[in-house]
Amino acid sequence: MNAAALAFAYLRRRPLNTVLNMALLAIGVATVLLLMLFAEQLRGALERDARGIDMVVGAKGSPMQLVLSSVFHVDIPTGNIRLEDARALAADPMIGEAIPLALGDNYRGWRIVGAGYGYPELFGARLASGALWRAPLEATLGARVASDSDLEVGSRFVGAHGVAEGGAAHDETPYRVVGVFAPTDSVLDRLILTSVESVWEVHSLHDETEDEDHDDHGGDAHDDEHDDAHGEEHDDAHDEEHDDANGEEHDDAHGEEHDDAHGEDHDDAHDEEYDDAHGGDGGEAGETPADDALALPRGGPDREVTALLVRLRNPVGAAVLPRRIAAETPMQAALPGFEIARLMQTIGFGIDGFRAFAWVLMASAGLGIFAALSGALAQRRYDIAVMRALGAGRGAVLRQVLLEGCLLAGAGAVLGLALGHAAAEAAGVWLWREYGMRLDGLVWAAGEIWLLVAALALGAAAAAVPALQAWRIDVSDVLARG
Amino acid sequence: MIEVRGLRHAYAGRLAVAVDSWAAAAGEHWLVHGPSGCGKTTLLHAVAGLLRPDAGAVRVAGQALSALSGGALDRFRGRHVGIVFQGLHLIAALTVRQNLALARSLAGLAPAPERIDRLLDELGLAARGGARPHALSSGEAQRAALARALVNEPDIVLADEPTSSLDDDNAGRAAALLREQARANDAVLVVASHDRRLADSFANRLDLSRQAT
Repeated sequence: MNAAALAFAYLRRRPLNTVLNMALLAIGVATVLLLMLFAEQLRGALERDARGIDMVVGAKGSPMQLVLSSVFHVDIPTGNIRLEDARALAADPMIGEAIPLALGDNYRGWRIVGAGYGYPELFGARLASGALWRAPLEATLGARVASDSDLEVGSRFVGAHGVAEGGAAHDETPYRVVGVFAPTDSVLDRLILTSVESVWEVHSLHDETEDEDHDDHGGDAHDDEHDDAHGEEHDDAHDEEHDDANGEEHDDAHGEEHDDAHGEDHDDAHDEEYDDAHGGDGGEAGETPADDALALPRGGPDREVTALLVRLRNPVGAAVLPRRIAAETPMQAALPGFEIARLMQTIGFGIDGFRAFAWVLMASAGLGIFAALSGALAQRRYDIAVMRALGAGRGAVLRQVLLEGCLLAGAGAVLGLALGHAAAEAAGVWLWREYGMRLDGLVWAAGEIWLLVAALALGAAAAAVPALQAWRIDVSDVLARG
Repeated sequence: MIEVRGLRHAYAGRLAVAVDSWAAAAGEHWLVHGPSGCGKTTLLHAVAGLLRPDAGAVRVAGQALSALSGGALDRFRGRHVGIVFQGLHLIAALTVRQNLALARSLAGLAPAPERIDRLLDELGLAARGGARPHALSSGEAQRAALARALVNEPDIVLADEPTSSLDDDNAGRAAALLREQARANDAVLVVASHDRRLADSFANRLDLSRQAT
């Protein structure tokens, strides 16, 4: 019969009290842990998604919205920017690389992103099957899109306007899946990548018909007008412009052309050397100047992209360029690192609130343990006195009561940690399904051990006063009374 | 085995016990008697080292208790003194067997399951080792308390009013059991009681009402 067994026997003797205090502490610990896991992994995910991107340039508006939409693909874009403005900026000597993005369509909620080949490189993406997009209306799927949708290499699909489900379908310009990326554990997994030219092609008639509106539009205006105009007019006009390239004809022609152009070597060529493929068979390669920093065809004067993901040559650019861009162009520049910090700070207020609540729960549990042990001690004065009479020293009974507090708190904490991990895992399933955000409950959070230590300290603190009372018991006096 | 000289102890200025001289040799069985409030329990507590008397000397098994520090006195008590409390005070959260095991553990002695089994068997509790105190009859509880007092093979067994709540039959049985077990364990037995039914059972008696005050 050791001290732990005795402590356990006492705790078992008042099960309701023990379970209630354990549960209260467990809920507090679980909440703190869940928040730790969430904040830690959210920051990790944000940083992973923004890896290699020093600056984002897009239409004026909220810089946070620009970063959210162009880097994390969770918000609507601020609008589009003129290709010529983007091209001029990309030629700036401070800019090492500028990756154009063209957003605006989705397939069943999966965002279709027109991008340069540098984009998947940001995530170190590898092809799991097939090839990178090359000709217009070819698409390469993120791993999650491939696993959760009905698409596979060779499938054809029609994009719909807007970055969320429900927009008008671009029936006449179906995409063809030519490849699937291996999982990258990043936002790329949830995207459908294609060329910027493909996005232009899908929207080309719209550009012509809505020319005036687009000359100086902002993002919202573009979206609204585009939504309205995109249906019939687009379909009709699109047929004319892409006589051979749309519908079944397009698919056939494109399929053949693509096959001819790439054949069996397509996979390997893209897999290993897709840097060299910029503009290659895009259909308008002749329009792309060799020294064009964006590797995009010039097209008409109203060609637009949604954003540029920029890698700077040196950090000075981060201080200089945003101000210059804001002052001298119709664009804005946002720094993902700064916006992530701002976002985490904003989210942090909420997290801090929940965390404070969780600590209050834990403190309440501490008070509960104190009350339970104090109450129990009043009933156990004879037991303490008997233990002393049987040879236990004052220190032994003090340690015994402390041990009970720590055992109760430790059990509550362990239960809470298990609960926290389970809750995170369950929340992860939901977040993944609803938002594509990964929250892994089966990882050890930094600082988790300190949570356990804090709970044990709380238990010891709660037991300190009852333990001192046990230490001070006058054995002879207590025994003489009974 | 027990020597008491000039013992005096007062509570809040009121003298609780006064024993000029008393000695109990190995193997002797003593009845300490007297009316309520004469200091029987205080004397037992002084002999057990549960209280330090205001004056006088107490030697147990050759050891002057006043010379022992608090911790050493606790350990000494655990090894050499077994106590049957008036209210028995078996620990309710533990089984009978666990109560005995705890007594050995608190005294710093190695677990001795065989001794516990033998004791329980001798006291007719072999089948009740796994029972908790609330499930015991008063007779069983009395025997379990005695078993706990004996489990560490003490030199001295102190019993405080062991028959106060028992009827005549059970009181006689309890007294006989105490003497028998003390004899079997070669321990000094000191029973403090105001129960007149025990008077004839003990050849050695210390009447505290006749001690100096």
